Amino acid sequence: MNPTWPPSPDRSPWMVLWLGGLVVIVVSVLGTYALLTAFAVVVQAIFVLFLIRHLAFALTAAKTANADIERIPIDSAQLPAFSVVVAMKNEIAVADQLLLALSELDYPSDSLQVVLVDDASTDGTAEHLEANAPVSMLVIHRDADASGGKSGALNEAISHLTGEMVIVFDADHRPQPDIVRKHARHYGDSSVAAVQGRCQIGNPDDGILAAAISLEYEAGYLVNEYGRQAVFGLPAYGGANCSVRLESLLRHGGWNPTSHTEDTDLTLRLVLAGEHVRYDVAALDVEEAVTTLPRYWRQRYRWARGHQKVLRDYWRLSLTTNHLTVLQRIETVGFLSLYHAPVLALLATILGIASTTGLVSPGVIPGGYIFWPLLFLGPLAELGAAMLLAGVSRRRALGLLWFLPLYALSMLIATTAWVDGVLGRHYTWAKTERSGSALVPT
Amino acid sequence: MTLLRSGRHGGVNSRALFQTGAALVVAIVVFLATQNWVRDLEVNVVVGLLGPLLPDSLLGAGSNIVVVPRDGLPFLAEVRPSCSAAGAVVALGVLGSFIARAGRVKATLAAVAVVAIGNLVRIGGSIGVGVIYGKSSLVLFHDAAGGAFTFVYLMVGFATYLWFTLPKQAKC
Repeated sequence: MNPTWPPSPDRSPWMVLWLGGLVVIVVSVLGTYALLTAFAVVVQAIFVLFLIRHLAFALTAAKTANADIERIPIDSAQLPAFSVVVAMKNEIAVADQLLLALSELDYPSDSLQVVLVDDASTDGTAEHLEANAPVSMLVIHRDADASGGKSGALNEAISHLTGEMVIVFDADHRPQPDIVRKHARHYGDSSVAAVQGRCQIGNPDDGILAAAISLEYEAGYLVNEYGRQAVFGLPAYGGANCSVRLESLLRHGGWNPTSHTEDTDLTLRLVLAGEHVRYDVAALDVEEAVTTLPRYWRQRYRWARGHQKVLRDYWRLSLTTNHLTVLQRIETVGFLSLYHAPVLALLATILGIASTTGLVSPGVIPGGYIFWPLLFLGPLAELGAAMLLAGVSRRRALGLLWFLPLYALSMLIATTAWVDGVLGRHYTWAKTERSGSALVPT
Repeated sequence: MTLLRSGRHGGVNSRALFQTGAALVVAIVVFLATQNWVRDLEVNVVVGLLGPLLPDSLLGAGSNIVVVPRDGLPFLAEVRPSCSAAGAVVALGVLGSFIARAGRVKATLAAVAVVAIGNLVRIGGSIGVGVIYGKSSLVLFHDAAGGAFTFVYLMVGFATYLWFTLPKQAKC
């Protein structure tokens, strides 16, 4: 295997000095007022682009997503061999439910391999799997000093795989029985290298945070991911309920162990090589939402840190590749900027507060308080469209009121991750802890 | 291969982008066409409601209100387009017409009512503060407290819209 991910040089404090020097030079040339005005104009222009993007996704999903969910063309004559792989590190709380869900997968047994990778668990997961996993499932154990986080665990399984396609789930996921068939139906097209399914939250009643995350997931999968495919033909391969052609995976050297978001990293490597990722809105599985703020912070920090690194690693290639049209290149950079937008939003908020309190002149922000409507209208459109498509109950609409504080928290998380990333602060892959509360697929 | 409607196009779906652009243009045109009328209406309602409570302190003139504070000189408070509910009302209307199916008229009217009343409270509160504490307090209240309140009533308005369009029980 020849890895196709770019080398990731360690960042250093020099980057901060470089940025600081740049600001000093611009201030000395333009003046503070002009710099702040230019910043406000640029940020608002970016927000307008995001607004158009979100609206396009919402309008498209509102039109056709339900029809796609109900469409069930599965070609039973063409069922390629699949390997299901689950990386498991200290997953004792969810192990039984996972084994049950995997045992109930509806796919010809001679074409389905299940591989469970125990990533040096210390909570008894390893022993539990040895004792309870059906003999048809292969259990692999990693050494305690093994590295690479989830990518490392998945890569460990590669040499054992027998399927033409590899489908990955996280341990807290509950795939629906027909999920492998839904993935399989896309691989008749030889240009398809990967398929992403839809994830749904299984514990929305586990408190305010879980309820809000549940709505966020509906918007993320029913509208955003759906829209990216419908509008730009560019859905993303996610970290779970996602499959990839083994041949493509091997050609790209496996999952990137230096990335904290190996899914986004692989998406970029596939797309930049001219291969296609598809999204199946009907390939449903259920996962567990975090229920406490510290877990939320850890999970989202990892996502932000990893996603921001992927932008740093691939933005140049994304803008120059011949495999994408100009609009697709812009969309790719927009998608990669997902966790940079909250950083800009935080800076914009600080500028807004400064102008409100008289620290800077209100005149520095052309258009005044247009920041916030621009920022929120798009995500609100996505959330609203998703709730209508999913047919959630009226009661759950009230969860929308938590959108604002959650977004404020996201701004802090993304900014912390950005600062740490630019400074090159050491970070090791942090697994999300489970509670085992997402028990039954809905 | 066409499995799903979303997968029909391998490249960019120009039609979807065009429709989005058209929706935005419609929203902007409607906003520009109605914002003066809406602002005048907001001024008339606020002056009409606050006038009896604050006698000899308010005078409406188009989209402006002449405010006579208890201490200090009279000043002019303008309801600018960004202070008006017109933008939010138009956005809700356009958004609703695209994403909702059943009950969209009732939902849109209810949401518009929440937003319009919320904004009247914001303007009225700001003017009241201006009468009692003066011009700079009006500006501070309008921008800080009023700004935060705006987010609240917008979210409540949107939740109201969804309340009327979502089913009572979740879809299985």
